[in-house]
Amino acid sequence: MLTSLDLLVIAFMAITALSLLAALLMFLIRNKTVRRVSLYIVSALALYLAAMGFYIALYGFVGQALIALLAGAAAIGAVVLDIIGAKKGLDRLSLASRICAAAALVIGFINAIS
Amino acid sequence: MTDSRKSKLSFEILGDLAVSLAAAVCLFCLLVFLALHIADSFVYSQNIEMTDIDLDYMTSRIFSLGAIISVLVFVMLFLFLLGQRLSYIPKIAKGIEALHSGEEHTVPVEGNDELGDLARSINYLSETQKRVRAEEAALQSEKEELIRSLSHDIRTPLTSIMSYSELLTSGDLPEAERRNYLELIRKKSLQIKELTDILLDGGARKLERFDDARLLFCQLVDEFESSLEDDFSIEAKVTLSPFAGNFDVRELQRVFDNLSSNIRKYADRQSSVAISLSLAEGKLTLSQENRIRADIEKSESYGIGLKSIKRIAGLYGGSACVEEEHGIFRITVVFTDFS
Repeated sequence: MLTSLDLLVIAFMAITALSLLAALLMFLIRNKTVRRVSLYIVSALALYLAAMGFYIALYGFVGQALIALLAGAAAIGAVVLDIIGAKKGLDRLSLASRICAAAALVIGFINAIS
Repeated sequence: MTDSRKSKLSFEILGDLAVSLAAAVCLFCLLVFLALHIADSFVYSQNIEMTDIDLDYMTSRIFSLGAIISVLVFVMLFLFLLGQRLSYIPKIAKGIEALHSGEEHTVPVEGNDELGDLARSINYLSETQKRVRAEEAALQSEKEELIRSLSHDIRTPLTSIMSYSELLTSGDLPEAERRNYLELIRKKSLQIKELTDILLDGGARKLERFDDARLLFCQLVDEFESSLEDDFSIEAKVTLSPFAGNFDVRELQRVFDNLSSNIRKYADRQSSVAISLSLAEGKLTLSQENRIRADIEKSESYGIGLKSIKRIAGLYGGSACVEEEHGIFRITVVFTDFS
């Protein structure tokens, strides 16, 4: 029978693995559909981690709460940039959105862990 | 422009394998390190007392779970990267299929490995096939044009032979006139023979050197005049100084025959026909002008004679310009390359 620690560790490992895989696919794969789906997964995870970090830091750690907010905003910004880039056909915006999403994920992850 | 940095497909796949392996190893280390840290924090915060056996068990489970997840990530990442490389193959196969069926198709060139080289080769073959087809079509069209043009040009002397034969069989003619017509029939027969020789030789030219080509052109103008003088009033003006040149007599005869044939078919018999020849600045210019009959019906062969004249003028580096204005037909043929 799985204890709460087991569930915690499994959940943590799954989120970490999924984040890394999605982030790598976002940069290594040329297929636009796969890239887009990976970006949305990374942004969703970054947003989740930012929310978790904000909730944890809410009572007492203002700096961390602000960082969490920043990470969340970056995740949303990444999705917006990607949509605009796709509509206007600008590859640079697409690259910027991917970098933004990856940064949001890393910042949110480190913020939540610490 | 070619990129000298060629890569091998096998090395690229090995590279993908290395990236996937590195990512999996990093992930394993990260997962194990952080999971142990989280487990320690959890145990400490919950005031849970753990024996050494419990700790070892927890550590081994974290290691196992970390390994399983890392292996899964490695497999998925490597499959994605390999699939990306191999997805190029159907694009190449489509190009080969198009090449086989003769359709125009360009394979997008991706990368600088064997597959990229294959795509480039297929595109090159496709371009070559397209060019060869175009050349074949052009040759076929040229052949058909030659046959059409020669057939049209053969008709003119044949018509003359028929006319002269009818005259010979019609009634009593003076002996001198009879001999004259027979001589004309003989000349026109020789002309037909030469034209059929051109047809059989595939249009090969027979250029001859003339030290004084003025005499040749004067003779051609005289023959032109005599072929038409019964039905038309001819005004010939030849202002040529002696000059040397290389000419194919058959080609020049065809030019004059086509001019006379068009005059017979389309010129107004009530007006005079003008023909002039001049030489200036190395350019030999032949001009012919006549009034067009009001009641002409353009037949299927309309334009073939003029096309033949233009083609022959082109062989001498020149051109033929045709103008039809206010009922007047004017053609100017220029020969420039005959030395």
